[in-house]
Amino acid sequence: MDEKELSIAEYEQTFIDDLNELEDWFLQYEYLLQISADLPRIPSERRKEENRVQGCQSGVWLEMAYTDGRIRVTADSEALIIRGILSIAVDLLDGRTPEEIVSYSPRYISETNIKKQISTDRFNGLSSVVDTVKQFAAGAIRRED
Amino acid sequence: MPDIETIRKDFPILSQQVYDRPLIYLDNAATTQMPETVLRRLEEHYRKDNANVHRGIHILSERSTESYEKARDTVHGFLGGGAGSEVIFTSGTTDSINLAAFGLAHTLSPGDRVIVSVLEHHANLLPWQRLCAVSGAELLVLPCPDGEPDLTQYEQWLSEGRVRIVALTQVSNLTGTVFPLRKMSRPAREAGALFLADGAQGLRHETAPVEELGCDFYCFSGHKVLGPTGIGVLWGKKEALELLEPLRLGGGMVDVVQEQSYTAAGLPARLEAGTPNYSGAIALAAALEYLTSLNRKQVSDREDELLRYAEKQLSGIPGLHILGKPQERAGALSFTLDDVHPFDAASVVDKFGIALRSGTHCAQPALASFGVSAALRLSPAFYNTFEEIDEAVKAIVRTKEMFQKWTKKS
Repeated sequence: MDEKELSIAEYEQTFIDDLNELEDWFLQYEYLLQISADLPRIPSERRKEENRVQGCQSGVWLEMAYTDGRIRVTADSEALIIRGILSIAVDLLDGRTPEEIVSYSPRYISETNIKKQISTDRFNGLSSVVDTVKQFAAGAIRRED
Repeated sequence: MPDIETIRKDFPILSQQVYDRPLIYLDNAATTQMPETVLRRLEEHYRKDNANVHRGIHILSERSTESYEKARDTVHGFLGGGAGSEVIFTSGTTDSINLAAFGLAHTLSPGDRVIVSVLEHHANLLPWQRLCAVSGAELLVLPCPDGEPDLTQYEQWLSEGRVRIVALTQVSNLTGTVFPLRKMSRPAREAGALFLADGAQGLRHETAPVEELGCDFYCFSGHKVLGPTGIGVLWGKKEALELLEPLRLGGGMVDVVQEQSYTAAGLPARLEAGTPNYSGAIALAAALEYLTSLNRKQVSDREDELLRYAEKQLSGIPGLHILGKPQERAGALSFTLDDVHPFDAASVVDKFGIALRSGTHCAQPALASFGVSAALRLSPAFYNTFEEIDEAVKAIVRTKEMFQKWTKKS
């Protein structure tokens, strides 16, 4: 089945199940590293202060566009574990309609060990990545109206 | 010093398991752990003697005040202060440096100069930065190539004149560089400058009396010498402390107060406005007594041995780069790993039960001087073992291997 036939929430559940099936931290990190390998890099010349996500000590950059009725999202980080976490967000949100995105409430952080990974104040920004995309999607809807 | 097993029994926090593994705590440059005797002293104070100090005539207040003032004497004795000096209790090194820096604002004029080094913790950089900005003085940041202060540049600046304050760390929290304070304080004071040492990382290492180091001011924090957090010290020569305009005004620091004016109390009260952290001070004194009972020189020697061992073992890891090659290193060493971001490394190493510090270490210009923006830091205390260092090294190697697999692919 094509993943895009799943709703964001259904697709998200597959990540949650995958992660929670892996018992220890090392396997969960391996999983995140594995999926991070598929996330395209944002070249350094496009990593600017304007698209840097505030509050992430390791440096997180987010690029968004709205074309043909779909939101395009990509993200990058210097740290691979963070890239793995970002890769879930990008997989879930890239190519969705703005309406799907605004009505989505993320669970992949709160229902997995990722919440512990990013619980320190150094990674506040990471949990705001989805919010930033949702705001962008809401803006896209407003412009359409 | 008793054997290591006996010492470790004094620190209840060290015997726990994390992630089903024994905790290996190697982040002592950030915070050291408290021995049983300090924990007990703190509890005892709250259970039996707790009352505000210097404020009441009742029995508890008297006991509390007596313990607080005795703690001041203990700190003074530990530092080897001498008769012409005084201990001010603060909330920590950062507070102490702010108290000194802003207290000296009135002594600076445009064109005056203040020297710090590039290896300073932000706590010994930002107050001077601000002080210079508001007074028109110039901030000179001493380069430390390869982690060693450039003494030629230093003496050059001093000889040019108008250096009013020199503020240097005793031991760098990033590279572990031991600054040659005796060598640096003498020409500073001959040039008419006040000399402040940030002893946060240095106090467990250096056992000589603070007066011998040639300081006018010396600062440290309780939580880096087995005491609780939220208590620190600004030690100073009386004539230097007298120069300080109180940064904080309020209860306890005054003599006579009228509606429009006040007269300040004498030292040390003048610089301790508000209810002090007396329980912290009392526990800090217990911590210093504990260190003294172990034999300070042996504590310092053991920490040096552990650090030298760690440096030797880590140097053998390909792709691991230790920051700086100072002539003398104490307390901490920082490093980067090829292809592994320090955040990633620290996250994984943590799951092996090993507490290292990662990030900027509150020393961004220092890191930048090595061309990096983050690093990992390993900082042993005397209660660590050589086996723990071995475990940490093994975990670092395994972490590196885990990431190498993926960095090559992406």
